[in-house]
Amino acid sequence: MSDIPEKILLYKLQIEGDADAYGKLYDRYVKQIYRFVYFKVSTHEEAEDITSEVFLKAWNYLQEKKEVTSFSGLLYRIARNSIIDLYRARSAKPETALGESDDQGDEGKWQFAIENKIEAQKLLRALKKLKQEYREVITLRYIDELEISEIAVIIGKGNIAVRVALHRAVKKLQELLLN
Amino acid sequence: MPNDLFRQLKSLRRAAVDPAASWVADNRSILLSQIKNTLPKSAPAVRRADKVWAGLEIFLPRKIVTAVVRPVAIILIIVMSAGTALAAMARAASNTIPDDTLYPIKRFTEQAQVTVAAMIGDQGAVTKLHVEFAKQRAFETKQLVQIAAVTGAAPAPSIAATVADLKSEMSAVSNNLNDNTSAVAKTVNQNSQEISSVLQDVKNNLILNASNTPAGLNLTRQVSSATSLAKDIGIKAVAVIVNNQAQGDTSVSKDDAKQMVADSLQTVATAAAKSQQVAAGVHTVVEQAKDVIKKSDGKQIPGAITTITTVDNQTVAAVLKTEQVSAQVGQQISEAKALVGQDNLVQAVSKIQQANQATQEAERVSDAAVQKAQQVLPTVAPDSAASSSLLLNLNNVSNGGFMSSTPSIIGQMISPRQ
Repeated sequence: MSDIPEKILLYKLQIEGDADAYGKLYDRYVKQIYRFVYFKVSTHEEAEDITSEVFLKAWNYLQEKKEVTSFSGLLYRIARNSIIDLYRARSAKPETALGESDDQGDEGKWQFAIENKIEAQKLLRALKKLKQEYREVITLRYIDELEISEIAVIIGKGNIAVRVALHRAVKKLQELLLN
Repeated sequence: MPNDLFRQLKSLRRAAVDPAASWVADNRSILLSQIKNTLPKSAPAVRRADKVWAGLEIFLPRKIVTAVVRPVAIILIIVMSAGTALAAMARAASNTIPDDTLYPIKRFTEQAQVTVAAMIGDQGAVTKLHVEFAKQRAFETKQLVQIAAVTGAAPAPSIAATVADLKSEMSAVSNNLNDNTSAVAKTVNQNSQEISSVLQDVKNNLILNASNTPAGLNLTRQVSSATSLAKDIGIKAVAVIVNNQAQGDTSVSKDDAKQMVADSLQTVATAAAKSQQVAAGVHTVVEQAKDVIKKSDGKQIPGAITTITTVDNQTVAAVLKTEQVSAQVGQQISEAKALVGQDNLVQAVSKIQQANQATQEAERVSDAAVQKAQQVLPTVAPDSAASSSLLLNLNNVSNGGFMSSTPSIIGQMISPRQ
Protein backbone atom coordinates (compact mmCIF):
# COMPACT_ATOMS: atom_id res chain seq x y z
CA MET A 1 0.00 0.00 0.00
CA SER A 2 2.72 2.43 0.97
CA ASP A 3 4.73 1.83 -2.18
CA ILE A 4 7.50 4.07 -3.40
CA PRO A 5 5.77 5.42 -6.53
CA GLU A 6 2.84 6.52 -4.40
CA LYS A 7 5.24 8.15 -1.91
CA ILE A 8 7.02 9.95 -4.70
CA LEU A 9 3.76 11.26 -6.14
CA LEU A 10 2.68 12.40 -2.68
CA TYR A 11 6.01 14.17 -2.23
CA LYS A 12 5.58 15.98 -5.53
CA LEU A 13 2.05 16.90 -4.61
CA GLN A 14 2.53 18.05 -1.03
CA ILE A 15 6.03 19.51 -1.12
CA GLU A 16 6.32 20.78 -4.67
CA GLY A 17 2.62 21.58 -5.22
CA ASP A 18 2.51 19.57 -8.46
CA ALA A 19 -1.18 19.17 -9.41
CA ASP A 20 -0.32 16.71 -12.18
CA ALA A 21 0.98 14.34 -9.50
CA TYR A 22 -2.57 14.19 -8.16
CA GLY A 23 -3.78 13.33 -11.63
CA LYS A 24 -1.43 10.35 -11.64
CA LEU A 25 -2.65 9.24 -8.25
CA TYR A 26 -6.18 9.46 -9.61
CA ASP A 27 -5.21 7.23 -12.55
CA ARG A 28 -3.76 4.64 -10.17
CA TYR A 29 -6.77 4.28 -7.93
CA VAL A 30 -9.92 5.44 -9.73
CA LYS A 31 -10.99 2.00 -10.93
CA GLN A 32 -10.37 0.37 -7.57
CA ILE A 33 -12.39 2.97 -5.73
CA TYR A 34 -15.09 2.91 -8.33
CA ARG A 35 -15.48 -0.86 -8.00
CA PHE A 36 -15.41 -0.65 -4.23
CA VAL A 37 -18.17 1.92 -4.27
CA TYR A 38 -20.14 0.25 -7.00
CA PHE A 39 -20.56 -2.95 -4.98
CA LYS A 40 -22.18 -0.92 -2.28
CA VAL A 41 -24.49 1.37 -4.20
CA SER A 42 -27.41 0.89 -6.56
CA THR A 43 -26.39 2.53 -9.74
CA HIS A 44 -23.33 3.51 -11.64
CA GLU A 45 -24.31 7.16 -11.40
CA GLU A 46 -24.16 6.93 -7.65
CA ALA A 47 -20.83 5.14 -7.94
CA GLU A 48 -19.52 7.89 -10.20
CA ASP A 49 -20.76 10.65 -7.91
CA ILE A 50 -19.29 9.08 -4.85
CA THR A 51 -16.03 8.30 -6.58
CA SER A 52 -15.68 11.92 -7.66
CA GLU A 53 -16.52 13.05 -4.15
CA VAL A 54 -13.91 10.67 -2.72
CA PHE A 55 -11.09 12.13 -4.77
CA LEU A 56 -12.13 15.68 -4.01
CA LYS A 57 -12.30 15.00 -0.29
CA ALA A 58 -8.91 13.31 -0.44
CA TRP A 59 -7.48 16.43 -2.05
CA ASN A 60 -8.89 18.62 0.72
CA TYR A 61 -7.42 16.26 3.30
CA LEU A 62 -3.99 16.55 1.71
CA GLN A 63 -4.27 20.33 1.65
CA GLU A 64 -4.64 20.30 5.42
CA LYS A 65 -1.10 18.84 5.63
CA LYS A 66 -2.28 15.93 7.71
CA GLU A 67 -0.09 12.86 7.92
CA VAL A 68 -0.84 10.31 5.18
CA THR A 69 0.69 6.90 5.69
CA SER A 70 -1.18 5.40 2.74
CA PHE A 71 -3.03 7.31 0.05
CA SER A 72 -5.06 4.32 -1.11
CA GLY A 73 -6.04 3.63 2.48
CA LEU A 74 -7.16 7.23 2.75
CA LEU A 75 -9.30 6.86 -0.38
CA TYR A 76 -10.97 3.71 0.89
CA ARG A 77 -11.71 5.27 4.26
CA ILE A 78 -13.25 8.31 2.63
CA ALA A 79 -15.24 6.03 0.30
CA ARG A 80 -16.62 4.01 3.21
CA ASN A 81 -17.59 7.13 5.08
CA SER A 82 -19.23 8.61 1.98
CA ILE A 83 -21.26 5.46 1.51
CA ILE A 84 -22.31 5.52 5.14
CA ASP A 85 -23.44 9.11 4.64
CA LEU A 86 -25.42 8.01 1.60
CA TYR A 87 -27.11 5.23 3.53
CA ARG A 88 -28.04 7.63 6.27
CA ALA A 89 -29.43 10.03 3.70
CA ARG A 90 -31.80 7.38 2.39
CA SER A 91 -32.33 5.66 5.70
CA ALA A 92 -35.81 4.56 4.77
CA LYS A 93 -34.51 2.43 1.98
CA PRO A 94 -32.78 -0.87 2.64
CA GLU A 95 -29.21 -1.43 1.62
CA THR A 96 -29.08 -2.03 -2.03
CA ALA A 97 -25.37 -2.13 -2.57
CA LEU A 98 -25.78 -4.67 -5.23
CA GLY A 99 -29.32 -4.21 -6.36
CA GLU A 100 -30.82 -6.34 -8.98
CA SER A 101 -32.54 -3.34 -10.43
CA ASP A 102 -29.21 -2.45 -11.82
CA ASP A 103 -29.09 0.05 -14.41
CA GLN A 104 -29.49 -2.16 -17.35
CA GLY A 105 -30.17 0.98 -19.30
CA ASP A 106 -26.51 1.70 -18.99
CA GLU A 107 -25.62 -1.23 -21.07
CA GLY A 108 -23.67 0.97 -23.32
CA LYS A 109 -21.48 2.14 -20.45
CA TRP A 110 -20.47 -1.00 -18.80
CA GLN A 111 -19.54 -4.15 -20.46
CA PHE A 112 -20.73 -7.42 -19.19
CA ALA A 113 -18.17 -9.54 -20.91
CA ILE A 114 -18.49 -12.27 -18.34
CA GLU A 115 -18.57 -15.82 -19.72
CA ASN A 116 -21.67 -16.89 -17.84
CA LYS A 117 -24.06 -14.06 -17.10
CA ILE A 118 -26.31 -16.23 -15.01
CA GLU A 119 -23.37 -17.34 -12.94
CA ALA A 120 -22.38 -13.75 -12.40
CA GLN A 121 -25.83 -12.68 -11.43
CA LYS A 122 -26.09 -15.55 -8.96
CA LEU A 123 -22.80 -14.49 -7.45
CA LEU A 124 -23.90 -10.89 -7.19
CA ARG A 125 -27.13 -11.90 -5.45
CA ALA A 126 -25.19 -14.00 -2.97
CA LEU A 127 -22.82 -11.14 -2.27
CA LYS A 128 -25.76 -8.89 -1.67
CA LYS A 129 -27.07 -11.20 0.99
CA LEU A 130 -23.83 -11.12 2.91
CA LYS A 131 -23.57 -8.71 5.75
CA GLN A 132 -21.70 -5.49 5.05
CA GLU A 133 -18.45 -6.49 6.71
CA TYR A 134 -18.23 -9.83 4.88
CA ARG A 135 -19.08 -8.25 1.55
CA GLU A 136 -16.43 -5.63 2.06
CA VAL A 137 -13.58 -7.97 2.87
CA ILE A 138 -14.46 -10.33 0.00
CA THR A 139 -14.56 -7.57 -2.57
CA LEU A 140 -11.39 -5.91 -1.30
CA ARG A 141 -9.51 -9.19 -1.15
CA TYR A 142 -10.68 -11.12 -4.21
CA ILE A 143 -11.88 -8.43 -6.56
CA ASP A 144 -9.56 -5.52 -5.78
CA GLU A 145 -6.77 -7.94 -4.74
CA LEU A 146 -5.58 -5.92 -1.79
CA GLU A 147 -3.26 -7.36 0.87
CA ILE A 148 -4.58 -8.33 4.30
CA SER A 149 -2.70 -5.45 5.91
CA GLU A 150 -4.18 -2.99 3.45
CA ILE A 151 -7.68 -4.21 4.13
CA ALA A 152 -7.03 -3.98 7.84
CA VAL A 153 -6.16 -0.30 7.50
CA ILE A 154 -9.23 0.43 5.38
CA ILE A 155 -11.74 -1.19 7.66
CA GLY A 156 -9.94 -0.21 10.83
CA LYS A 157 -9.25 -3.68 12.23
CA GLY A 158 -6.25 -5.89 12.88
CA ASN A 159 -4.79 -8.39 10.41
CA ILE A 160 -6.05 -11.37 12.37
CA ALA A 161 -9.56 -9.94 12.51
CA VAL A 162 -9.47 -9.48 8.74
CA ARG A 163 -8.35 -13.08 8.17
CA VAL A 164 -11.08 -14.34 10.45
CA ALA A 165 -13.67 -12.18 8.69
CA LEU A 166 -12.48 -13.41 5.30
CA HIS A 167 -12.67 -17.02 6.31
CA ARG A 168 -16.20 -16.60 7.62
CA ALA A 169 -17.26 -14.51 4.62
CA VAL A 170 -16.08 -17.10 2.11
CA LYS A 171 -17.79 -19.87 4.07
CA LYS A 172 -21.03 -17.92 4.18
CA LEU A 173 -20.81 -17.07 0.47
CA GLN A 174 -20.32 -20.72 -0.37
CA GLU A 175 -23.38 -21.63 1.69
CA LEU A 176 -25.43 -18.99 -0.09
CA LEU A 177 -24.29 -20.17 -3.50
CA LEU A 178 -25.11 -23.77 -2.70
CA ASN A 179 -28.53 -22.80 -1.56
CA MET B 1 -11.18 -20.90 -1.10
CA PRO B 2 -12.47 -23.07 -3.93
CA ASN B 3 -10.80 -22.18 -7.21
CA ASP B 4 -14.12 -21.91 -8.97
CA LEU B 5 -15.44 -19.28 -6.63
CA PHE B 6 -12.14 -17.45 -6.80
CA ARG B 7 -12.36 -17.41 -10.59
CA GLN B 8 -15.90 -16.11 -10.50
CA LEU B 9 -15.03 -13.29 -8.17
CA LYS B 10 -12.05 -12.31 -10.28
CA SER B 11 -14.22 -12.33 -13.36
CA LEU B 12 -16.40 -9.70 -11.75
CA ARG B 13 -13.31 -7.53 -11.54
CA ARG B 14 -12.42 -7.91 -15.13
CA ALA B 15 -15.86 -7.44 -16.43
CA ALA B 16 -18.82 -5.46 -15.48
CA VAL B 17 -17.98 -3.13 -12.75
CA ASP B 18 -15.22 -1.02 -14.25
CA PRO B 19 -16.11 2.63 -14.84
CA ALA B 20 -16.64 3.85 -18.32
CA ALA B 21 -13.46 5.15 -19.90
CA SER B 22 -15.12 8.37 -21.00
CA TRP B 23 -16.33 9.08 -17.51
CA VAL B 24 -12.86 8.44 -16.09
CA ALA B 25 -11.30 10.95 -18.50
CA ASP B 26 -13.98 13.57 -18.04
CA ASN B 27 -13.91 13.26 -14.31
CA ARG B 28 -10.14 13.59 -14.31
CA SER B 29 -10.27 16.87 -16.20
CA ILE B 30 -12.92 18.29 -13.91
CA LEU B 31 -11.08 17.19 -10.81
CA LEU B 32 -7.74 18.69 -11.90
CA SER B 33 -9.32 21.98 -12.88
CA GLN B 34 -10.98 22.17 -9.48
CA ILE B 35 -7.82 21.46 -7.53
CA LYS B 36 -5.70 23.81 -9.61
CA ASN B 37 -8.01 26.62 -8.62
CA THR B 38 -7.18 25.95 -4.99
CA LEU B 39 -3.41 26.03 -5.51
CA PRO B 40 -1.58 29.36 -4.93
CA LYS B 41 -0.37 31.16 -8.06
CA SER B 42 3.25 30.82 -7.01
CA ALA B 43 4.75 28.18 -4.81
CA PRO B 44 5.12 29.46 -1.25
CA ALA B 45 8.66 30.16 -0.09
CA VAL B 46 9.52 27.17 2.01
CA ARG B 47 12.85 26.75 3.71
CA ARG B 48 14.85 23.94 2.30
CA ALA B 49 15.15 22.36 5.74
CA ASP B 50 11.37 22.35 6.13
CA LYS B 51 11.07 20.72 2.73
CA VAL B 52 13.46 18.02 3.80
CA TRP B 53 11.57 17.23 7.00
CA ALA B 54 8.21 17.33 5.24
CA GLY B 55 9.56 15.11 2.51
CA LEU B 56 10.90 12.63 5.03
CA GLU B 57 7.52 12.49 6.74
CA ILE B 58 6.05 11.15 3.52
CA PHE B 59 8.47 8.24 3.41
CA LEU B 60 8.76 7.60 7.14
CA PRO B 61 6.22 7.77 9.95
CA ARG B 62 5.94 11.32 11.24
CA LYS B 63 6.66 10.25 14.81
CA ILE B 64 9.97 8.72 13.78
CA VAL B 65 10.95 11.80 11.81
CA THR B 66 10.04 14.14 14.65
CA ALA B 67 11.38 12.08 17.54
CA VAL B 68 14.43 10.45 15.97
CA VAL B 69 15.51 11.51 12.50
CA ARG B 70 15.27 15.26 12.96
CA PRO B 71 17.04 15.46 16.37
CA VAL B 72 19.79 13.09 15.24
CA ALA B 73 20.33 15.07 12.04
CA ILE B 74 20.50 18.34 13.98
CA ILE B 75 22.99 16.88 16.46
CA LEU B 76 25.13 15.53 13.62
CA ILE B 77 25.12 18.91 11.89
CA ILE B 78 26.10 20.66 15.10
CA VAL B 79 28.88 18.17 15.83
CA MET B 80 30.23 18.40 12.28
CA SER B 81 30.08 22.18 12.31
CA ALA B 82 31.71 22.33 15.70
CA GLY B 83 34.37 19.90 14.57
CA THR B 84 35.15 21.89 11.46
CA ALA B 85 35.17 25.16 13.32
CA LEU B 86 37.28 23.70 16.10
CA ALA B 87 39.87 22.38 13.65
CA ALA B 88 40.12 25.80 12.04
CA MET B 89 40.43 27.48 15.42
CA ALA B 90 43.04 24.95 16.55
CA ARG B 91 45.17 25.80 13.53
CA ALA B 92 44.81 29.50 14.22
CA ALA B 93 45.60 28.97 17.90
CA SER B 94 48.76 26.90 17.41
CA ASN B 95 51.08 29.93 17.48
CA THR B 96 49.43 31.78 20.29
CA ILE B 97 51.02 32.56 23.63
CA PRO B 98 49.44 33.08 27.04
CA ASP B 99 47.13 36.08 27.26
CA ASP B 100 46.17 35.69 23.57
CA THR B 101 42.45 35.19 22.93
CA LEU B 102 42.81 31.80 21.26
CA TYR B 103 45.42 30.45 23.67
CA PRO B 104 42.83 28.40 25.60
CA ILE B 105 42.01 26.64 22.31
CA LYS B 106 45.66 25.69 21.94
CA ARG B 107 45.72 24.22 25.42
CA PHE B 108 42.41 22.45 24.88
CA THR B 109 43.74 20.89 21.69
CA GLU B 110 46.86 19.71 23.50
CA GLN B 111 44.81 18.16 26.25
CA ALA B 112 42.64 16.41 23.68
CA GLN B 113 45.73 14.93 22.04
CA VAL B 114 46.94 13.56 25.34
CA THR B 115 43.54 12.17 26.18
CA VAL B 116 43.28 10.35 22.87
CA ALA B 117 46.77 8.91 23.17
CA ALA B 118 46.04 7.77 26.72
CA MET B 119 42.73 6.21 25.67
CA ILE B 120 44.40 4.06 23.04
CA GLY B 121 47.08 3.08 25.54
CA ASP B 122 50.05 4.56 23.68
CA GLN B 123 52.29 5.47 26.62
CA GLY B 124 55.14 6.48 24.34
CA ALA B 125 52.95 8.97 22.51
CA VAL B 126 51.73 10.41 25.81
CA THR B 127 55.30 10.94 27.01
CA LYS B 128 56.35 12.50 23.73
CA LEU B 129 53.36 14.82 23.83
CA HIS B 130 54.17 15.95 27.37
CA VAL B 131 57.78 16.77 26.48
CA GLU B 132 56.66 18.56 23.32
CA PHE B 133 54.20 20.63 25.32
CA ALA B 134 56.91 21.38 27.89
CA LYS B 135 59.02 22.72 25.04
CA GLN B 136 56.06 24.83 23.93
CA ARG B 137 55.75 26.27 27.44
CA ALA B 138 59.47 27.05 27.44
CA PHE B 139 59.26 28.97 24.18
CA GLU B 140 56.12 30.76 25.35
CA THR B 141 57.92 31.79 28.53
CA LYS B 142 60.81 33.12 26.49
CA GLN B 143 58.50 35.20 24.31
CA LEU B 144 56.63 36.61 27.27
CA VAL B 145 59.83 37.62 29.02
CA GLN B 146 61.16 39.22 25.84
CA ILE B 147 57.92 41.19 25.47
CA ALA B 148 58.17 42.36 29.06
CA ALA B 149 61.77 43.41 28.49
CA VAL B 150 60.91 45.40 25.36
CA THR B 151 57.89 47.11 26.85
CA GLY B 152 59.60 47.69 30.17
CA ALA B 153 56.61 46.20 31.94
CA ALA B 154 56.84 43.99 34.95
CA PRO B 155 56.68 40.29 34.13
CA ALA B 156 53.04 39.31 33.74
CA PRO B 157 51.49 36.78 36.13
CA SER B 158 50.91 34.54 33.12
CA ILE B 159 54.67 33.96 32.89
CA ALA B 160 54.75 32.37 36.32
CA ALA B 161 51.71 30.30 35.38
CA THR B 162 53.38 29.18 32.16
CA VAL B 163 56.51 28.14 34.03
CA ALA B 164 54.33 26.21 36.45
CA ASP B 165 52.65 24.45 33.53
CA LEU B 166 56.04 23.65 32.09
CA LYS B 167 57.15 22.05 35.33
CA SER B 168 53.92 20.10 35.42
CA GLU B 169 54.53 18.74 31.93
CA MET B 170 58.11 17.83 32.81
CA SER B 171 56.90 16.04 35.94
CA ALA B 172 54.52 14.02 33.81
CA VAL B 173 57.40 13.08 31.55
CA SER B 174 59.60 12.11 34.48
CA ASN B 175 56.91 9.99 36.12
CA ASN B 176 56.43 7.86 33.01
CA LEU B 177 59.96 7.80 31.65
CA ASN B 178 60.99 4.46 33.15
CA ASP B 179 58.10 2.69 31.42
CA ASN B 180 59.05 3.92 27.99
CA THR B 181 61.21 2.62 25.20
CA SER B 182 64.72 3.82 24.44
CA ALA B 183 63.44 5.57 21.33
CA VAL B 184 61.06 7.65 23.42
CA ALA B 185 63.80 8.30 25.99
CA LYS B 186 66.07 9.55 23.23
CA THR B 187 63.41 12.02 22.12
CA VAL B 188 62.97 13.15 25.70
CA ASN B 189 66.72 13.67 26.10
CA GLN B 190 66.94 15.79 22.96
CA ASN B 191 63.95 17.90 23.89
CA SER B 192 65.13 18.33 27.47
CA GLN B 193 68.40 19.76 26.26
CA GLU B 194 66.51 22.21 24.08
CA ILE B 195 64.22 23.17 26.95
CA SER B 196 67.18 23.69 29.24
CA SER B 197 68.86 25.94 26.68
CA VAL B 198 65.73 28.05 26.18
CA LEU B 199 65.21 28.42 29.92
CA GLN B 200 68.82 29.50 30.36
CA ASP B 201 68.12 32.33 27.89
CA VAL B 202 65.01 33.21 29.87
CA LYS B 203 66.96 33.35 33.13
CA ASN B 204 69.63 35.54 31.57
CA ASN B 205 66.95 37.85 30.21
CA LEU B 206 65.31 38.11 33.61
CA ILE B 207 68.59 38.89 35.30
CA LEU B 208 69.50 41.42 32.62
CA ASN B 209 66.22 43.23 32.94
CA ALA B 210 66.52 42.90 36.63
CA SER B 211 63.24 42.83 38.33
CA ASN B 212 64.23 43.09 41.94
CA THR B 213 60.66 42.92 43.15
CA PRO B 214 59.69 39.84 45.14
CA ALA B 215 57.60 38.63 42.17
CA GLY B 216 60.49 39.11 39.77
CA LEU B 217 62.98 37.37 42.02
CA ASN B 218 60.54 34.53 42.59
CA LEU B 219 60.06 34.15 38.85
CA THR B 220 63.81 33.90 38.35
CA ARG B 221 63.97 31.20 41.00
CA GLN B 222 61.11 29.30 39.33
CA VAL B 223 62.84 29.43 35.97
CA SER B 224 66.05 28.15 37.57
CA SER B 225 64.06 25.35 39.15
CA ALA B 226 62.50 24.45 35.80
CA THR B 227 65.93 24.47 34.17
CA SER B 228 67.22 22.06 36.80
CA LEU B 229 64.22 19.82 36.24
CA ALA B 230 64.86 19.75 32.50
CA LYS B 231 68.49 18.80 33.06
CA ASP B 232 67.48 16.07 35.53
CA ILE B 233 65.07 14.58 33.05
CA GLY B 234 67.62 14.70 30.28
CA ILE B 235 70.04 12.66 32.34
CA LYS B 236 67.24 10.36 33.50
CA ALA B 237 66.41 9.67 29.86
CA VAL B 238 70.04 8.64 29.28
CA ALA B 239 69.76 6.36 32.32
CA VAL B 240 66.65 4.70 30.82
CA ILE B 241 68.44 4.06 27.55
CA VAL B 242 71.49 2.65 29.28
CA ASN B 243 69.40 0.42 31.58
CA ASN B 244 67.33 -0.85 28.66
CA GLN B 245 70.53 -1.67 26.82
CA ALA B 246 71.82 -3.58 29.80
CA GLN B 247 68.65 -5.67 29.61
CA GLY B 248 69.17 -6.44 25.95
CA ASP B 249 67.38 -3.59 24.18
CA THR B 250 69.32 -2.76 21.05
CA SER B 251 66.98 -0.12 19.62
CA VAL B 252 69.68 2.44 20.45
CA SER B 253 73.19 1.35 19.50
CA LYS B 254 75.91 1.11 22.11
CA ASP B 255 77.92 3.80 20.36
CA ASP B 256 74.95 6.16 20.41
CA ALA B 257 74.41 5.43 24.09
CA LYS B 258 78.08 6.09 24.84
CA GLN B 259 77.92 9.35 22.95
CA MET B 260 74.84 10.42 24.90
CA VAL B 261 76.64 9.63 28.15
CA ALA B 262 79.69 11.59 27.02
CA ASP B 263 77.49 14.55 26.04
CA SER B 264 75.83 14.50 29.45
CA LEU B 265 79.24 14.46 31.13
CA GLN B 266 80.30 17.47 29.13
CA THR B 267 77.11 19.36 29.91
CA VAL B 268 77.54 18.85 33.65
CA ALA B 269 81.20 19.78 33.56
CA THR B 270 80.47 22.95 31.62
CA ALA B 271 77.72 23.95 34.05
CA ALA B 272 80.00 23.49 37.05
CA ALA B 273 82.73 25.56 35.45
CA LYS B 274 80.33 28.31 34.55
CA SER B 275 78.96 28.56 38.09
CA GLN B 276 82.48 28.92 39.38
CA GLN B 277 83.27 31.61 36.80
CA VAL B 278 80.08 33.54 37.58
CA ALA B 279 80.73 33.50 41.33
CA ALA B 280 84.29 34.65 40.78
CA GLY B 281 83.20 37.37 38.39
CA VAL B 282 80.57 38.72 40.77
CA HIS B 283 83.09 38.74 43.55
CA THR B 284 85.53 40.74 41.42
CA VAL B 285 82.91 43.36 40.53
CA VAL B 286 81.83 43.73 44.12
CA GLU B 287 85.43 43.96 45.29
CA GLN B 288 86.14 46.74 42.83
CA ALA B 289 83.01 48.63 43.84
CA LYS B 290 84.05 48.31 47.49
CA ASP B 291 87.54 49.66 46.77
CA VAL B 292 86.19 52.71 44.96
CA ILE B 293 83.67 53.48 47.67
CA LYS B 294 86.41 53.27 50.32
CA LYS B 295 88.58 55.67 48.38
CA SER B 296 85.90 58.34 47.98
CA ASP B 297 86.14 59.87 51.43
CA GLY B 298 83.33 62.24 52.25
CA LYS B 299 81.44 61.47 49.11
CA GLN B 300 79.99 58.16 50.07
CA ILE B 301 76.31 57.31 50.40
CA PRO B 302 75.61 56.68 54.10
CA GLY B 303 75.87 52.97 54.94
CA ALA B 304 77.38 52.11 51.57
CA ILE B 305 80.56 50.67 53.06
CA THR B 306 78.68 48.39 55.41
CA THR B 307 76.31 47.22 52.66
CA ILE B 308 79.01 46.56 50.12
CA THR B 309 81.13 44.74 52.70
CA THR B 310 78.26 42.41 53.52
CA VAL B 311 77.68 41.64 49.87
CA ASP B 312 81.40 41.12 49.37
CA ASN B 313 81.47 38.54 52.14
CA GLN B 314 78.54 36.74 50.51
CA THR B 315 80.32 36.63 47.19
CA VAL B 316 83.40 35.22 48.86
CA ALA B 317 81.29 32.44 50.29
CA ALA B 318 79.80 31.83 46.86
CA VAL B 319 83.24 31.60 45.32
CA LEU B 320 84.40 29.13 47.91
CA LYS B 321 81.31 27.00 47.51
CA THR B 322 81.51 26.89 43.74
CA GLU B 323 85.18 26.04 43.84
CA GLN B 324 84.46 23.19 46.18
CA VAL B 325 81.67 21.92 43.95
CA SER B 326 83.79 22.28 40.88
CA ALA B 327 86.46 20.13 42.43
CA GLN B 328 83.93 17.56 43.53
CA VAL B 329 82.28 17.48 40.11
CA GLY B 330 85.66 17.19 38.45
CA GLN B 331 86.38 14.10 40.51
CA GLN B 332 83.03 12.57 39.70
CA ILE B 333 83.40 13.25 36.00
CA SER B 334 86.82 11.62 35.97
CA GLU B 335 85.35 8.54 37.62
CA ALA B 336 82.48 8.54 35.15
CA LYS B 337 84.84 8.73 32.21
CA ALA B 338 86.75 5.76 33.55
CA LEU B 339 83.52 3.78 33.84
CA VAL B 340 82.58 4.68 30.25
CA GLY B 341 85.96 3.37 29.20
CA GLN B 342 85.07 0.10 30.93
CA ASP B 343 81.70 0.04 29.12
CA ASN B 344 79.98 0.33 32.48
CA LEU B 345 77.48 2.88 31.28
CA VAL B 346 74.97 2.27 34.07
CA GLN B 347 77.44 3.26 36.78
CA ALA B 348 78.72 6.13 34.65
CA VAL B 349 75.25 7.61 34.41
CA SER B 350 74.84 7.25 38.16
CA LYS B 351 78.00 9.34 38.64
CA ILE B 352 76.65 11.91 36.20
CA GLN B 353 73.45 12.21 38.20
CA GLN B 354 75.43 12.85 41.37
CA ALA B 355 77.58 15.45 39.61
CA ASN B 356 74.48 17.09 38.22
CA GLN B 357 73.00 17.49 41.68
CA ALA B 358 76.18 19.16 42.92
CA THR B 359 76.30 21.42 39.87
CA GLN B 360 72.76 22.55 40.42
CA GLU B 361 73.60 23.49 43.98
CA ALA B 362 76.53 25.58 42.69
CA GLU B 363 74.23 27.28 40.19
CA ARG B 364 71.85 28.26 42.95
CA VAL B 365 74.69 29.76 44.91
CA SER B 366 76.07 31.75 41.99
CA ASP B 367 72.60 32.92 40.91
CA ALA B 368 71.93 34.14 44.45
CA ALA B 369 75.21 36.05 44.42
CA VAL B 370 74.34 37.76 41.14
CA GLN B 371 70.89 38.72 42.34
CA LYS B 372 72.23 40.12 45.59
CA ALA B 373 74.81 42.18 43.78
CA GLN B 374 72.18 43.49 41.39
CA GLN B 375 69.99 44.54 44.27
CA VAL B 376 72.73 46.31 46.15
CA LEU B 377 74.97 47.97 43.61
CA PRO B 378 72.39 50.50 42.31
CA THR B 379 71.74 51.63 45.88
CA VAL B 380 75.35 52.49 46.47
CA ALA B 381 75.71 54.10 42.98
CA PRO B 382 73.64 57.28 42.56
CA ASP B 383 74.64 57.74 38.92
CA SER B 384 72.16 55.67 36.92
CA ALA B 385 74.36 55.53 33.80
CA ALA B 386 77.29 54.14 35.71
CA SER B 387 75.01 51.80 37.56
CA SER B 388 73.69 50.46 34.27
CA SER B 389 77.25 49.90 33.05
CA LEU B 390 78.06 48.02 36.15
CA LEU B 391 74.96 45.93 35.91
CA LEU B 392 75.69 45.15 32.29
CA ASN B 393 79.13 44.08 33.27
CA LEU B 394 77.67 41.92 35.97
CA ASN B 395 75.27 40.39 33.48
CA ASN B 396 78.05 39.58 31.10
CA VAL B 397 79.72 37.71 33.91
CA SER B 398 76.57 35.88 34.84
CA ASN B 399 76.17 34.80 31.22
CA GLY B 400 79.65 33.36 31.25
CA GLY B 401 81.20 36.33 29.47
CA PHE B 402 84.06 38.58 30.47
CA MET B 403 84.20 41.58 32.67
CA SER B 404 84.72 44.88 30.92
CA SER B 405 84.46 47.15 33.90
CA THR B 406 87.36 49.45 34.71
CA PRO B 407 88.07 51.57 37.77
CA SER B 408 87.18 54.68 35.76
CA ILE B 409 83.64 53.47 35.20
CA ILE B 410 83.23 52.71 38.84
CA GLY B 411 84.67 56.08 39.66
CA GLN B 412 82.06 57.81 37.49
CA MET B 413 79.47 55.83 39.27
CA ILE B 414 80.56 57.02 42.70
CA SER B 415 81.58 60.62 41.89
CA PRO B 416 80.36 62.00 38.58
CA ARG B 417 82.21 65.31 38.99
CA GLN B 418 85.62 63.66 39.05
